Amino acid sequence: MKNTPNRYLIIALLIGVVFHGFGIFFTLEGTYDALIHLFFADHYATHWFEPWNYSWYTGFTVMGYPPLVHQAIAILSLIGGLKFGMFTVAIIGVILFITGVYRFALLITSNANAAGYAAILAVFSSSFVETLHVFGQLPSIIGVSILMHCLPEIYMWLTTGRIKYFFTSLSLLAVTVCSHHVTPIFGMVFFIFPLIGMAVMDQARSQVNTMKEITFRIFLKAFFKLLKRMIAFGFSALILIITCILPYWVNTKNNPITQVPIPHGSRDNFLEITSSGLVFFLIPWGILLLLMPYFFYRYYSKRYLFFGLSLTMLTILGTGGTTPIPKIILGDNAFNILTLDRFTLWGSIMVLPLFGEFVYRFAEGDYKTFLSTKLGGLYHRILAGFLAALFLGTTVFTITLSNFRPSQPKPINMLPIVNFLNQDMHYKWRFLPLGFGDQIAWLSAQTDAMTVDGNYHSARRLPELTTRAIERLENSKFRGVEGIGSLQQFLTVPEKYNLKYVFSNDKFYDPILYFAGWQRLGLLENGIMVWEKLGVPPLAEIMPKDDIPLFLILMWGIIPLLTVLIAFVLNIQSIWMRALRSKKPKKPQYMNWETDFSASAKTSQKRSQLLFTIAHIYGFIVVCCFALGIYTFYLKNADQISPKNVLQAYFDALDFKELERAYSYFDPQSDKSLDQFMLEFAVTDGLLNSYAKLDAIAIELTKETDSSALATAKAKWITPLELINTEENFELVKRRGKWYVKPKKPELDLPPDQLITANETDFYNHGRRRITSEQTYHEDILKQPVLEVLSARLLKVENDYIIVGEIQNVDNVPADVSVKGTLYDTNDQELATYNAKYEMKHKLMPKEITSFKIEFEGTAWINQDEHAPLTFNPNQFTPVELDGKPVNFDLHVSGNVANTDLYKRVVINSLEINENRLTATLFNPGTQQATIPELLLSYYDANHKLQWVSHHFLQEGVRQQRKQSITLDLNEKKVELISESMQAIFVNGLPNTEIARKVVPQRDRKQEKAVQIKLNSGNFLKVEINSYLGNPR
Amino acid sequence: MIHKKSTYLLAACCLLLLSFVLKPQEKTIELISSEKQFTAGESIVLQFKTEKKELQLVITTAWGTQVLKPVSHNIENQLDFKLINGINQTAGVLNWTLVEKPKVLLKGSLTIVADTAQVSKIESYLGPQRIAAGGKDYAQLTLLPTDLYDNPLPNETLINLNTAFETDQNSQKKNVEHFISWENIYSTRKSGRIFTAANKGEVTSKLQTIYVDANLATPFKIRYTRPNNYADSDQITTFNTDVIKDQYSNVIPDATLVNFVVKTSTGEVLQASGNTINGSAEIQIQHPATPQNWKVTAYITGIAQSDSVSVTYNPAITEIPAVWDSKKRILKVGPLNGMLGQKLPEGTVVTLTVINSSSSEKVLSKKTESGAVSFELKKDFYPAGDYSLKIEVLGVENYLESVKLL
Repeated sequence: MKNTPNRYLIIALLIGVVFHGFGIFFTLEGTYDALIHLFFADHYATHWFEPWNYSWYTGFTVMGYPPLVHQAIAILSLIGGLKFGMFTVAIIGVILFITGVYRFALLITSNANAAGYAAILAVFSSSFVETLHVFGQLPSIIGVSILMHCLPEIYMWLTTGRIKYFFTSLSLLAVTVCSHHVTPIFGMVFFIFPLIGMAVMDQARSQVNTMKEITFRIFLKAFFKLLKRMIAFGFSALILIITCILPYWVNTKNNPITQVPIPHGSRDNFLEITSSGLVFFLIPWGILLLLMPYFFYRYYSKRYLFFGLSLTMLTILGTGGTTPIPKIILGDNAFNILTLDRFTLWGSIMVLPLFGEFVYRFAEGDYKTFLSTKLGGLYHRILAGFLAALFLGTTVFTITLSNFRPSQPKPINMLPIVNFLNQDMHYKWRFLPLGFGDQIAWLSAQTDAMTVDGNYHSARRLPELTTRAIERLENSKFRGVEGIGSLQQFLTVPEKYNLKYVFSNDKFYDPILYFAGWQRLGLLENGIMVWEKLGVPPLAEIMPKDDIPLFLILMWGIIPLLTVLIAFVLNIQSIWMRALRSKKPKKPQYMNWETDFSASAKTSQKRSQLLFTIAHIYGFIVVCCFALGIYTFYLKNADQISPKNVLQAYFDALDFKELERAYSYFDPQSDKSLDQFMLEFAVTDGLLNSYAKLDAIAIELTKETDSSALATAKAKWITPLELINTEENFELVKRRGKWYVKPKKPELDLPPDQLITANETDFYNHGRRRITSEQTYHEDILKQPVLEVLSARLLKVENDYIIVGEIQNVDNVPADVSVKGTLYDTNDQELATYNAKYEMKHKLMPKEITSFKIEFEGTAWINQDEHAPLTFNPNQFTPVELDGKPVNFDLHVSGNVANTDLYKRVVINSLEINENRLTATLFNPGTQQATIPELLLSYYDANHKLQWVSHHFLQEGVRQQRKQSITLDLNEKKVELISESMQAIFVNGLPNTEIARKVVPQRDRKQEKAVQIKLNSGNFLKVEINSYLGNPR
Repeated sequence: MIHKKSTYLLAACCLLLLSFVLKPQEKTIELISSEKQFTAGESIVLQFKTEKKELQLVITTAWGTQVLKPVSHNIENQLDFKLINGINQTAGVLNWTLVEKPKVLLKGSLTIVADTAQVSKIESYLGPQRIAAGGKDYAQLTLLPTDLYDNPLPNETLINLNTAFETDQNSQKKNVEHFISWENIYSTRKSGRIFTAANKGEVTSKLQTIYVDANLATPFKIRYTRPNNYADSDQITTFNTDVIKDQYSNVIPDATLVNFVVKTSTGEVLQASGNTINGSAEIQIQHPATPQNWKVTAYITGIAQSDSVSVTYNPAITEIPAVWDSKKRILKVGPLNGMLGQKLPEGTVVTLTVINSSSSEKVLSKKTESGAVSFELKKDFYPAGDYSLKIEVLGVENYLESVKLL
């Protein structure tokens, strides 16, 4: 063998660096994981030896993820910034991967040409492209690449027993361990064990003349001969895995992952959820699926037998939830923690050497000869073209996948947010980004301000998060009611987390913020809406953290980079030594087993023929399956092929606001123009039109003929506030073989006035009048508005305890009000505390009254044995578990001067109660559109004592000078009075009794009854309106 | 033997006595400087007469404790300690201890008083900023004059306090007592702003503003205007309050919420709320869809209410033309014309009640287009037979008795 580098490898490296180096600049930042690694890198760049990070989850330890890649980025960031570090490490990863595949292929095939082909193929391997450009799993790539570099060294140690190889192999393994913890553990099972098997097999082969002569006895003999080396390596490897990232294992033991598993696409049934099948099965395997018979045939030959077994396992485990086998093999626990896509990744990497071998044989080896002689050169060329097109097509599709199906919101310019957080000491509170995707990691990397959310879910600590299967609060809308429920808890009691600012990149969350008592601060330059909660205390100066022993901290900071240094010295040194010695290098051991696949090789024609037939039959079946899949997909999704499809497509288009597409489903013979439809859509606004996501739809055909049909569409919408069920009737017609929806007539109601005039009092609060970073001047701090609690009662309703009451703003300025209630038992032990959420108006004008209700919500599913329900309940509410029986309560009401969201013009224009059914018409005479009006119903008993408060959101908004009606069932509750003592009620820290005595001394309580409507039962009802404006002008 | 013993005893006693005599005479240490009171900022030097060199002076003030070393000079048998760096600027009692580690040699104290000659600042604090008119509510102004070194001034220091309300200006002298001076400033009967400021010589405090808001509202009156008096479910009636004032004739603050409650003749309770501007609140409410009589009262709940106003809405149409086409099973309602002969506004609701022979009812409703609407009674739902139809538009009804459906 010549001592010149393999030209295929050089080509592969050149292409690889250019292709991926160019690609990552467009893809890496939009991947799922890359920015998380960047955030960790930022941590190390600023606090190398500090294992505690306050930025996420009220503080967490970075010892939950092996640090090597992060630290490498951190070191490089000192040269050219974080992103420079990340891109450099990614390019290093590409180089390591290509060379790793080359060395691994050389080890397996013993053929430099085949290995060279494998290296070139590795560049475009769809699983690698996906892992790097879609998932951004840098540590995983580096880990598996180094592992592949490690394999030849292990083989050499086993076969030669030279101590040099013992150390080189271990040094490389140590680097693998430090970069990714899962890779060496499973790599041990799936790569190193089969490799040992192969080494033993080769050892046995050297005892006999042909492979066929190896019997089990000879194999066993060879096995025992190598046993000592195996044990030495095995134990050393185990020690390395433990010691190199010892702090990680200690942390895992101290903070075991007890959280509810988070659904991951790789565990889905790929046949049911085709998108997961595409991303986690079809793409990573890609063209390799067509060549499966070849891989199995080769890997199940005697020498590679153990690789064959390993590949089988990987293939099966990679199928996720499609078959029950992976769950049986891994067990429930591991199945739910591991992401199974990595098995497919490893499987696809394992076959790369053979893929290289195949392509070599096909392009210039014996298969070419076979095919050319058998079917002529043209067929060979056509087949080659077909395979190459398929291969490159998959790669191009994969790298551009995020363009077809964006997994992330558009890149956000973080600078305005960073500046906002730095201004006026806003960093003294926690913030919460909503709708940022994985970019929250990038935001956190740029600011010292802290968030309650985070992007590394294994490190979550708050039970509000860990008990639910939500990855982040930021994207809670994709987790249905469970996610929204978790978010609600944070927004309702923000003072518990010192949460004051919310950055909203998705207006979906705006209503929930408004109704939980938050207010808009305004848009930043980058279009992000900032929400603020008044009256939240700032973070403490000193915050708690877990204490970690010094030796672990030192190990964590020193060992990872040290392993790289040692591995570098050991391995590079041996290459130098080889080069310097100028002696012709000895062929490595594994090169002795080369099989001749060259064009002139005398391979068995019979076997080739058999293989050829099998491959074609298999290929045909795969192509057929694929075609069938596409066809069923088409039938399911062809929009106008059946009345059901067209209605479904119509709803889908509406859901995604693709109005032109929705319009295209309308009956062409109807007189509705596109302009008219657009206009009609544009003027409807409200909870259902602007804030709902279609969750499920069931279409029932009530009547169907060949050319027309009547259908009822029952749709389920997820909105930020509640689940909405709608039922709508449609008329469908068939014209020229296509089904269409008959459009509906628009609202005919005509407002009386063209131009509306209205007078309004506006408020503006300067904040600081002086531009100074010092403490705000005493006289610039506005007095907190005085509020008076008119009544408050602790009640027992069924099994839950609630506090209801009424508050009046008795000051002369508008107030933002939050109410916190606490329950006590007979020993005055605190039992539970919570804030009023939807059942109150949080903004009160001077002298305005609101009813309120505090429900005591606990953290859902906090007990291990409780599990989240499989179907989501719209009004998911977990009552808090009380340790005792509440007998008393206190209320802390706090008011701050409000100057936004003070629109109170919506009028109850008619109201009718018919046997427990309330029909009301709201009329909006003002100049603002009430996007989501909320009705607050207060139920009083016959003595005008408040019993219960409920809320109802209108699905549609009320436009200016227009009406909207609502019908709802009244729900009088049976309640048991526990306490109505007004003693422990405090407003802004002052006793309420004092305020009641002083501010309105001669209060006329009769006036409160004027708005109460007598019900048939003799009880009374009060209706209040609280409107959310989506776009205040 | 006894003799011998007593001799020893004697010797021992002598030794004991000697030991007292032999104890070396300690040199006395004295404070030379005699001054006990200093003015803040003045240089303070404590001089001690002593031969020792390695002594330290421990200073304790309200601000904390410091250890000083003597300053070097050439005077024999004397140690000087210079109190600088703020120690000499903080008013209050200063305790000093002369120490030769670990022994305490001498103790004493001196007083530093504020430099009343150099008053530099009058801090002022006011709360609450907003009070109610009428003279019962008050805000407390607290003044804290300090010297150059931020020391509060001693009792009996005089300060001028000026208050102004519109054109009235008042000046009074206030004594400092326990470092501060304070004044309760009672509200005026008229709403407005009271300005206050204090001065001592050239030194002035910040201008503080007390906002005197109007007191609680008193009963008021309401009135209404409307473009017509028809129950057309279209036009808008505007209700206003007159200017609402407190008992001292101040206009109540802007944005006070006034809740208008409408009790209709059909027993409904409607609500609308308006915010006052210059004392008057306004709400708008759409005319009802049926002829009704409204009784409207406005409330500033718990505080004041208005008189009740009665509003009557008359029928908006007089007749409902309807044509029944029994062949096509179509009922045509319209043209529906208003009082000027105009077509009713688009979207007016027409309700049709279909009553069959066994007097069970079905209600259909549609909205008008160009003043007309038509109902189709399909065979699937309405089998042939005798029906009576009730058409209702804006509270006006029209009966079609014994209509035959074929």
